[in-house]
Amino acid sequence: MQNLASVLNLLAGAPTLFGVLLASGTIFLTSDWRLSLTALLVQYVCIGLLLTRSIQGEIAILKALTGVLAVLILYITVRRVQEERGFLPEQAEFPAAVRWGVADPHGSLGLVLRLLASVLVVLALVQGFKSVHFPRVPAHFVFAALWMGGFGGLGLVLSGDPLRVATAILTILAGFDLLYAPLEPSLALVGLWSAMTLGAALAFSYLIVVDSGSGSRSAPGEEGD
Amino acid sequence: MTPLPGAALLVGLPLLAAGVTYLVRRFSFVAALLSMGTTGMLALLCLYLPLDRSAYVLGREIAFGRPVVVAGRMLALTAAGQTWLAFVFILSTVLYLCAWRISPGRSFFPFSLAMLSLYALTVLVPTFSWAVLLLTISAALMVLILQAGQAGSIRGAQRYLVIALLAVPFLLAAAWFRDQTAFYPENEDLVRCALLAAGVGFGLWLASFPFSTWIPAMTAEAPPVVAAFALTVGQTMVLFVGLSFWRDLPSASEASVLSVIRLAGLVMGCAGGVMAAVQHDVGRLMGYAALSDLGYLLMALGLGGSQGATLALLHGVNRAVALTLFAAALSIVRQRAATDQFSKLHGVGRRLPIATVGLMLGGMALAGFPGTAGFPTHWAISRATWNWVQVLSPFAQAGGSGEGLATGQEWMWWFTGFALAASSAGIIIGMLRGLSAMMGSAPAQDKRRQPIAASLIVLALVALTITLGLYPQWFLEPVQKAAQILF
Repeated sequence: MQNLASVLNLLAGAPTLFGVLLASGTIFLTSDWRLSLTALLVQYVCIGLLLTRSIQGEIAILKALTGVLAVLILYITVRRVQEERGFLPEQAEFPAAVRWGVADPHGSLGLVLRLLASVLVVLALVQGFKSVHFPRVPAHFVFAALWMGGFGGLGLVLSGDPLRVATAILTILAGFDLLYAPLEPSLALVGLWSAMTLGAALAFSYLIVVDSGSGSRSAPGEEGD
Repeated sequence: MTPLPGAALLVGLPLLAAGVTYLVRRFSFVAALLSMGTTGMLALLCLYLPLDRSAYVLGREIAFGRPVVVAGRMLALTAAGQTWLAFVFILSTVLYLCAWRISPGRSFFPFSLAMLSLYALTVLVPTFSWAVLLLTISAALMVLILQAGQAGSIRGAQRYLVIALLAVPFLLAAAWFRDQTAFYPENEDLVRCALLAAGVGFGLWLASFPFSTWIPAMTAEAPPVVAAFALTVGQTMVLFVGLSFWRDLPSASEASVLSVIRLAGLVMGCAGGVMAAVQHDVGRLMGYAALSDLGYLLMALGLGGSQGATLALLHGVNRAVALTLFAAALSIVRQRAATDQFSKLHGVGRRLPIATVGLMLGGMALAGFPGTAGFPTHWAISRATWNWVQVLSPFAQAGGSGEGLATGQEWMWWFTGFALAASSAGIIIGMLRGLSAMMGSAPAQDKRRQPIAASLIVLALVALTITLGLYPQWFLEPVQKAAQILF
């Protein structure tokens, strides 16, 4: 048990923080739903690891597990929708993760524009971080939360596709949880927060299913709106 | 035998009924009857059972005010919560009656009952953060009934969910800042941060300008009865949580805060009215009219104190009646004409006269037209707001009565006048455009005859709307009581 604690302690440092930043950036930049959901999964696990230094280990694990479940709900939904519609990824002209064009055939922003928007967010974040101060919360948590909020907000503004919106809003909420969990350690609140996260994932998966039946041509997560 | 605690009844009964109605959801009559029975009974319990002692109901002892301890916190029903829940349950009963004849989707009865259970829990919990999270969970459930399984655009339901979730960080942050003020009472920044975060959070939830895009998107796509449920029952709960937060926050009643609320209400009223005038379908028109009317509610709250709260709550009751009437009539039109676009409604007015009258009267009540339920409170709120800006008028300043005021604020006087006029006139113009389309000279032959039971429900709501317009004092006493308890 002590070994596990020391491993967790070792992991919950700079590598995990870097993992969170990379994951939220990937969620926004990629057009491939598999990569996007994998990044969301990594993000939740990293947040759980980061939180082990600020809150009880069991609660941090519970938070990570909730996130993993939410990702699982979304994954199963998109997988089923694709199977029902007979969509094969191999049919795509280019791999979905690296669409370079300004706009793909379904109207989403291409990688170039998404990269430019990301640069703007990072610049604003670096500038704004100096003036933000949260008592009792480590500075690197604040930076990660603002990073996630920035990329989540950008994802929310630039897309109407339910899967993209779901990953963006879950990123924002996870970022806020990084700030809020050390401040409010109440067990009941942790339970309600988890219920809300799972409820949101279920509601979005329902919207993904309904949207797929509305005749939009694109695969879920690859813009149809 | 131990008396049954009221908290268990309020939370457990709707949840139990939700399970049963889910099983019988294919039989709309049974599901509606069960739902109406449950909410009707709970409304009666809320109206008549005392909180300070136990009482016998059908041979069973019930201690309605007895607290229950859950997760170390005490869940107890307060007098304000009791009145609030009574209103929510009565409103739900009326909406279930409408839903019986005009189906808003099979999932409406079970999921809305589950939501009512969460609403009751929201009223019972002592902590603001719990209430916020419970309301957000209920918003996730709301998505299921807003979409109602319809393939097509998901814009309305998705925007509703996104807005509900986006507000959570702001509201939880507001709660944390507010709690910190108890430890650092001299730190004014904490109060400012709490107010700012709460303003954004509740602005999102109440669809305050510029976060209002979800209301018209929702009313355009969701079944009208479900939209009315979200706009009346749902927003009533948001208002309850908001007022509870406001009451406990120091400096929340400062003149500057109240002015911001009033200004936000004016902008909402104006934007809703202007947009309502240029719509091309009745669903969106309903959304913008509801938005404009919500602006009046904020203006009333901006008056401050128990007087402002009384006016706001009374307006909330009248608004609920008007929206229910509008939704019931729109449901009939959508069901019979299969559309609500003005361009395709030619002749509907002649084939569905009762629904058309209901639609017009509901819209007029939302605009505050004389003789309808909306008029008394619209008039009172408009007068109070107009008096508030009188000192800023160019005439008052020229006459010397505006001395001491900051110069350059005359625009507020002009804007208030324009906003108050536009909020009502815009809705009326929109409704007249709709009426003109519905009374068009080319009656469509494929429209079916008006449904008898649904039309009777609309007629009853029409009668209530007119009666409330003539006798606005009907609900004044319970509303005053609720406002006094809240403040």
